[in-house]
Amino acid sequence: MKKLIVLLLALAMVGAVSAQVTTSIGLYGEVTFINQAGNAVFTDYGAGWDTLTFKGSDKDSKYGFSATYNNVLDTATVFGGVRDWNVWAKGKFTKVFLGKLRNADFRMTLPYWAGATVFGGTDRITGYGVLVETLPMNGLTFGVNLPIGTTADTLVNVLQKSDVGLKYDVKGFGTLIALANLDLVTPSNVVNVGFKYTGMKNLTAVVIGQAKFDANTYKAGLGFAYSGIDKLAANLEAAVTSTAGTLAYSVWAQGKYSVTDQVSATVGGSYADTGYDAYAAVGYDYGNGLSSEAKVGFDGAVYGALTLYYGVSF
Amino acid sequence: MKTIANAIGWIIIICALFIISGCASIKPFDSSLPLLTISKAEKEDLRGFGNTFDTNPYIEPSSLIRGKLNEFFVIKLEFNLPQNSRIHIIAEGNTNEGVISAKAYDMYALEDFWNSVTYRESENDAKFQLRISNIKRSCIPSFSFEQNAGQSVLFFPFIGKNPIPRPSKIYVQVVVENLQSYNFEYLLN
Repeated sequence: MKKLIVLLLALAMVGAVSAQVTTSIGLYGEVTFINQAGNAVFTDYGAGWDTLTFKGSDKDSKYGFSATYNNVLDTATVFGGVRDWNVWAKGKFTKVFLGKLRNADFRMTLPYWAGATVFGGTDRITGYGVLVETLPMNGLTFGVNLPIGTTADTLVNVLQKSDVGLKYDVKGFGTLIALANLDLVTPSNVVNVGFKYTGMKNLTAVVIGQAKFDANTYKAGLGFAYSGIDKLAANLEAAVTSTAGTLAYSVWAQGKYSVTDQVSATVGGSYADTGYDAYAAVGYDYGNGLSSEAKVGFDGAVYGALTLYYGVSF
Repeated sequence: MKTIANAIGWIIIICALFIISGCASIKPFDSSLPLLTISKAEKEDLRGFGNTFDTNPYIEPSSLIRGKLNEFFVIKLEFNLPQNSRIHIIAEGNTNEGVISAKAYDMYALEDFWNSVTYRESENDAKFQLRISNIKRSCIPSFSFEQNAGQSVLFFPFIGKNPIPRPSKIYVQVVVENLQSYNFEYLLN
């Protein structure tokens, strides 16, 4: 473990001595002293959260690379595996990525958290492939990904599985995205759309939708984040899904008041087809990614939790 | 099903009210004010975006080990336009020897900058989302763009290595097409 930490720190310092290459290690998790069942548990978020990322580019940002390992503290696999990597180059009109992609340029999520409701975010472009994006022109960006995998496939099949994305920034109003994850072979086509309204100071409103026609699955989500009242951050997010005609829904709202820079008070609640939850919490931010929270709630029974969160980037 | 439809209906109404109130908040042209004021953005100008770089795109990022790698110098543009106007901006940050010491960033470049220094699953992070929204609503969209009539404020940062070499001259020229040209100079000592 000590060797691992030394290695991580050494890698971080690579970024410190090089102006063009940056290295980052992010560790995230929580230690719950008392959970809803009255037990204590240490939860490292692991896959997707504990990451080691290398990023680099030339001084004019014309070309570069990115590679991310995840689950870096998994003692069984050590560094988990390469979650995603890409090399990219930017020309006068286009930007090209190739590698094992995890690209969110045509993705949209609800303002607070994609996981707060039953549908909180549209799809990314993922997997091996070559993604070509136009650079924004009058707010319009267009992208096509050819998912050329590590298993040989006919070019016709690759074309039939391509991803087509569009993003349009309307100045002073908002952003529209659309992403078609095509798969005419299986078939398994997915269409994602989203709109984010940023035309008003302190308010962000997002509406997203997803249609998986072949799976007969449809999803929609709506979210607001409002910070126009001094020291209060208010969020409302709602989503509904239909899977082969079976509906699921959830609505979540939260108000977080910053008593001081360190201390916050939160009240919130959610209502879904699967149940409900109402909670209140007091949080303390120690800075540098360390914070704690004492929470009480009612989801059919009274519960309480005392948790220490860590989220540290080196 | 009826309950869900009602809920969606209410949400759409609330959304429409927010949008209408947002559109109505644009101040009209005031002939007693200059068409454009260029200045160095002060802390008070940027406080509304948050107190830390978590949400405020105009505050330099820093990490636990490497500290602050960049220095920002943020420009504030206060428009007071009688009509929709085409805006052209020339922005340079040079040392006395003419070497580039800081580069001006528009909305897309600033988004790219934050993406390049953010390692957490950015689109799943509420604070990152708010930072990007703050860029969208406040940063110049490019160095040549159409600006609506009335009073509005936009920002853009010069970004250099920390510290930006001293002395350096920050120079901004803004042309309001068919109306007037404005200059701003600031010496970083």
